[in-house]
Amino acid sequence: MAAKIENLSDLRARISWIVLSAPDQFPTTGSFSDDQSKNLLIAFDLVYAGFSLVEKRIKDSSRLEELRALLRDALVAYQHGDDKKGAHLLQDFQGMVFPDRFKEYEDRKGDSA
Amino acid sequence: MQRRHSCPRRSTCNGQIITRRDRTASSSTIDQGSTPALKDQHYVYVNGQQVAHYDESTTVDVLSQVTAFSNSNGTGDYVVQEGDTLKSIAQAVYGNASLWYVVAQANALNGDADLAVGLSLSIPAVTTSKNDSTTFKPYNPSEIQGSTTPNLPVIAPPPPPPKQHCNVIAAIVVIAVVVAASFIVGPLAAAALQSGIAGIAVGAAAGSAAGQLAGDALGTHQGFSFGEVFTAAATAVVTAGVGEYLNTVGEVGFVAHAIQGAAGYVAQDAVEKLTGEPAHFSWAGLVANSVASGVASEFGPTEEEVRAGTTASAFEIGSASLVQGVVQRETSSALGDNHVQSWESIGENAAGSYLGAAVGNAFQPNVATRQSSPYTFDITKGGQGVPSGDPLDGYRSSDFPSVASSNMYATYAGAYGPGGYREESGYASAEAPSPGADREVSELVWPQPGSSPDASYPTRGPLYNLGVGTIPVQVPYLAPSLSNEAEVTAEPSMLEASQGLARLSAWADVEAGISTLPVRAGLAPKAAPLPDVEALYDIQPGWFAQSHAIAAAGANDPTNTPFQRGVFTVLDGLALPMVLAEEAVRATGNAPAQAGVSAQWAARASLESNSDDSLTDISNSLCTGGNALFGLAGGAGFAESAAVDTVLGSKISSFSSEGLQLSGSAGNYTLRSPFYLDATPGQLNSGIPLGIRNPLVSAENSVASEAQAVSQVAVDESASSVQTIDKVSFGAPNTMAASIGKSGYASVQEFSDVAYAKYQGLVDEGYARADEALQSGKLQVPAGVSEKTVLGQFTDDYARVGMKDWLADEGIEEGAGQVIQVNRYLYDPAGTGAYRIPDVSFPGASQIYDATLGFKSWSTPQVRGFYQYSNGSAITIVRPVQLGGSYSVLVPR
Repeated sequence: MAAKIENLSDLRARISWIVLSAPDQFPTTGSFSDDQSKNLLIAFDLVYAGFSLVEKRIKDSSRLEELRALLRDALVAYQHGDDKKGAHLLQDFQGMVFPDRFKEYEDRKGDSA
Repeated sequence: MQRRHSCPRRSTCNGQIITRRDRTASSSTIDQGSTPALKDQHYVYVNGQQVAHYDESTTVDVLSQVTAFSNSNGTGDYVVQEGDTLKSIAQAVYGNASLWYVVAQANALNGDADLAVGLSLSIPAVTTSKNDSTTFKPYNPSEIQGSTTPNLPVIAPPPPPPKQHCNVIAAIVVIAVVVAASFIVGPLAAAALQSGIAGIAVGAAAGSAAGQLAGDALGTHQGFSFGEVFTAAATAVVTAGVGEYLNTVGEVGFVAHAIQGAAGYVAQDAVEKLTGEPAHFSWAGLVANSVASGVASEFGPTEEEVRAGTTASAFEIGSASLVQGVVQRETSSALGDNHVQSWESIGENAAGSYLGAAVGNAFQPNVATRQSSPYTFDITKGGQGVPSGDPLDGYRSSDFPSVASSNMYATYAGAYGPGGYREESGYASAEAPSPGADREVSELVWPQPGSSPDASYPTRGPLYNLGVGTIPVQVPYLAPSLSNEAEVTAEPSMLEASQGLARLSAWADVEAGISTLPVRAGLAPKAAPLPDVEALYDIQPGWFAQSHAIAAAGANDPTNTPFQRGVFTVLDGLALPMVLAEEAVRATGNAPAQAGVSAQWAARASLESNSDDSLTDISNSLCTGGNALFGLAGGAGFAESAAVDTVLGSKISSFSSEGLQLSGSAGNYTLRSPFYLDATPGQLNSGIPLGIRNPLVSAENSVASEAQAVSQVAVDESASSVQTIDKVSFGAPNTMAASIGKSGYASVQEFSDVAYAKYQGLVDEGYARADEALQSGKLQVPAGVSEKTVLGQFTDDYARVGMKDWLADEGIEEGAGQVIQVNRYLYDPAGTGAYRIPDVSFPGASQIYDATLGFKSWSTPQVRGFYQYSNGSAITIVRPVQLGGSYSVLVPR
């Protein structure tokens, strides 16, 4: 069973996890199975389920629609075998919702390069 | 003999003291003693105001109010620009966003909504008595707004500032970097260059290039920038030019170096702007650079040497760079500079300076050679319970450098003998090696020379080649080949393989004059079969990786003693067998903060289960292992502190970080921990206790290891004073739970162990995937963000999700009040509102796991925060095995 997305940080992390797992390196335990195409859908469903958190942060409806489109396009890209495009679209999504994520990471970890 | 005390001072023309020297002079000698306060004290002034103080013990105190700022003349009008807010305007004109209300009040504004582009605002005069890094107005010549002549108001003398101490661990790391680089530089030296400005430029460029490449190998630097190379060269030229000018006007010494350092800083800023490199000019940085240059001059060639034309050795220059980097960092940090140089960067610069100097001076090092150790071991002891071929077996304590505590090494030496006890002066008579039984130390102690780069380990290439290619770079393991102090203090022109970094520690201490660096050579744990060792070792060069390799390799060798299998030879000579410590924690339920000493002793106390044993029996069991019943081995553990009290309570007369003191009819004994250092417990805090968490030790080895553990105790029969204590408490039993998760973990500790292994696997997998995604172009690296940060962020996210999914699969709740917490806020219990966010924490087991790609020590704010806010949890830094693996950090109290 996949963990529920409880906060925006969970959402950011789940998207990163998809970037590193899609299209065919998802786990095969818990909520996931040997069917990687199905796993891809499950993974995106998890993100969609957490989208309400984004709606609380971003009120601009056009921007929200842009974000939804990014997710849709990313899934389509993966389904069409364009892994790089799918990954980039997901990162574009992250960039719009979490523009300071790298800075926050460095602050949290004390790491900087 | 007549002695007189004097305290000469050097002053500025305004009567301000810039140097104070306390000393006692006899007829022919001047004695400054060993007290730091009596060492030369230096004071730094800017515009007549003291801004810093340092002494020759590397203490650097920078006064907290040096950035106070006044624009008492006002700044006139300000025209509102697009995007301005009251706070941004206040930041622009005052350097302090919190003064937004002054602007608002002066212009009858109710808030940002009243701001309109083109509106002219009146900016009244304001004087602030104190600024900090968040309020100080940065200087950028191309973006001047407001006052161009910030002045420092006269302020009252500040209270004694907090001490700023150099990070010893980082200092040693960068030394290690320099030395690692020294193995690489050989053929470069053949390219002798002309002296003068051109040589300086080329040397600096070579240093920058080498430093970048070394940084790549270390993982602290990404990519290669010709801009950086050019910046280094141009900055060196300008700096050298200023230096020449200063020489012509007769300005020498600290002031000259300070001016030169400031010039270099400004030049670097200018050149960085020209080349498009990120420019980080700040006044704080300027002051820091100035101070650091002055301090560093104390470590480089003297003025007399310069005048006499004596060529400074590459090491002198490298050391000066190292010290300068350390001082500059401390000063910048104290000044609140946002662009504090990282330790890794300091290391790169030091390595670069070393290489640059080596090229410029046509430094011709010897090619590293490996030689057999003159020491021997007694193979006959293999039949007496000591692993055959143990490379340390047979060493006398006198074999170790005299700069170290003799007690420490007596203990260490004792730790390896089957009897567990050797007199400090050498073998006990019964253990003296028989004639003819001596052999040279196994060559397994050191890696084989001539190894060629292995495509399986891509980071090996830069380490081995780095533009050289023909020299098999062999940074040796810590080899106990130090035989006397004279050898230690003699400056080697090149380290030899058999001398190793153990020698470096002492050497660097002497040469760099960093008196706060404790000098103790580490011991060489026995290495595992070479391929594994090399694989681990080559993942990341340098001290840490080396130690990791040793520990990891040693842990896999079942013939190793537990000391060897679990030890991480740490930087202060404090070898901490973490495996034992953790097991002791497990058995006793001690808080891990106590694991370093007390839990170990609690475990050892369990050796003896017969309450009526005599003191002699106890000491015998501890020291000889003859009738040892190590509680952990049998699984019964030693969780019951009452048993301790019953068994040993009547005999324990004192208990401290040094060990147990027992008293009885047979006399008084002091049983010391194998990692006992010196008589002063405080010295534990001066070191960097940093142990590797080693989950690789298999269960079948633990029994043997614990049986051998009894030999890790030495007895000091000379102890005479006895203190009485009523009770020895070893803490509360570990938190137990009936069952945790679907897998039914029997205790929090067991669950924590499994969780650690899980998290380690996720971090490894996440890093591998992130790295692959980066290489294939799937990961985007935004401008201004390093690849390392991107890798770290994705690795962290991947492990976080994987961990939470696993917990969900196990049906284990996560969060506040639960047995495990993942990425949850950890607040300061003191109520300050400060917090940290550890990746994984187990409050019931007092353990924290935090993934990172970099190295962290106990002095890292994150680690200290974890420790303080969790009331002393054991902290394990979970690093990808590809980068050297994980380790635990023990935070000194």
